[in-house]
Amino acid sequence: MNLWKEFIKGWWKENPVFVMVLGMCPTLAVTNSVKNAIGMIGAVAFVLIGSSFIVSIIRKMVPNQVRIATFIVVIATFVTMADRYLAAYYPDLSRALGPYVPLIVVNCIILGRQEAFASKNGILASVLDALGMSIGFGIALMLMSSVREILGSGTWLGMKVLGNWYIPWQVMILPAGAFFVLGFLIWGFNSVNKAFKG
Amino acid sequence: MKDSLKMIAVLTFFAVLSGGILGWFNTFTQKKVEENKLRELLRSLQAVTGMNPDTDTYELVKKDKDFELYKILSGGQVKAYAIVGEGNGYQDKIRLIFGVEPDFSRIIALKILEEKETPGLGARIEEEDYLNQWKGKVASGELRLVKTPTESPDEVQAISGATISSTAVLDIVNKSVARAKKILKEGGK
Repeated sequence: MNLWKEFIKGWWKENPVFVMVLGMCPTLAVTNSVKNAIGMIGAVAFVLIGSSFIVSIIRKMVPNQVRIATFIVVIATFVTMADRYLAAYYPDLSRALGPYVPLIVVNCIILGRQEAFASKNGILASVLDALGMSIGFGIALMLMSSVREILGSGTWLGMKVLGNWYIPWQVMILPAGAFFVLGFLIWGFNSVNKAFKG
Repeated sequence: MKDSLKMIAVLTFFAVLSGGILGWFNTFTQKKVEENKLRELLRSLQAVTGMNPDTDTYELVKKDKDFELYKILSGGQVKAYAIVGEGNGYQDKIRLIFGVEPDFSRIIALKILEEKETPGLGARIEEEDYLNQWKGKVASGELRLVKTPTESPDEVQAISGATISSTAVLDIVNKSVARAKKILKEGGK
């Protein structure tokens, strides 16, 4: 049952965004629409799971002193693949995400999982951990982008959900809106976590 | 000594492996990326010059980082010119494309290729209402910005609350027209 625990801890209890407050750059920057968020979730999940898999295989042969450099090479390889893939097959999405796909290289969730987990655990546990963290990241980005797109544009994934009476609250799709939503969601997550602990 | 050799060996091994994988991956994505670019260009040319993709051809006259000039040919005759221009907007670069009549009398249509203006204000330069007013403006390179409904074809109405973005688009068009004229005069015909 231990593996199951590694898998679900990232969903809520150790949610990488709301509880560990890592990976803020994509969380704030690309959550102005659900479509962008889905693209980012896919790219991060691919990089995270791929890197954890490789790192857990090679962890014993990498000398301690160069482990971070090696992990970054592994991560950067996956990020470049994700970036090229999006540019080739989803050019519109690639343009909308702009520099934030290459910036996954420095996303702390990914290097954090390699350092904290994949470099110390076996393949299966590492992949499950990465999968769980990706789901947690996905939950966070979907929450952020849904709130922002619905309030900021009156749509969800491009579909109109609020009637014509609704005047879009444009600040929500601007950077300021990202900070508002993030603040409220972190507050909500931690209140719930505290309530359950106490 | 043994340790540092191992460090160098491991890191070199992974770097080379990574390079190899990416090189291989690039061989089939690169082609696709270039196809996308070409398709995008053709779509823009059609939108701003009314070129018929089956019978008309286009030719690149001049290409710079912030400027491109295309000639649209229909049966050996120049049917229109398409100009790509770039300049500073409110937050970032604005890149646009527009078509002009072969004698530079009128602008056929204008399309924004890239912008990162403020949503709801400057970003409205991408909206139909604004773009449609560009159709038929004189391509003299001396268009003026006005804040009231336009009265003559050398005036363009600004978007309220987005004077900087509106001015930027106007400046890019004016500058690009002047540049295109100069290039064609110097024999780029």
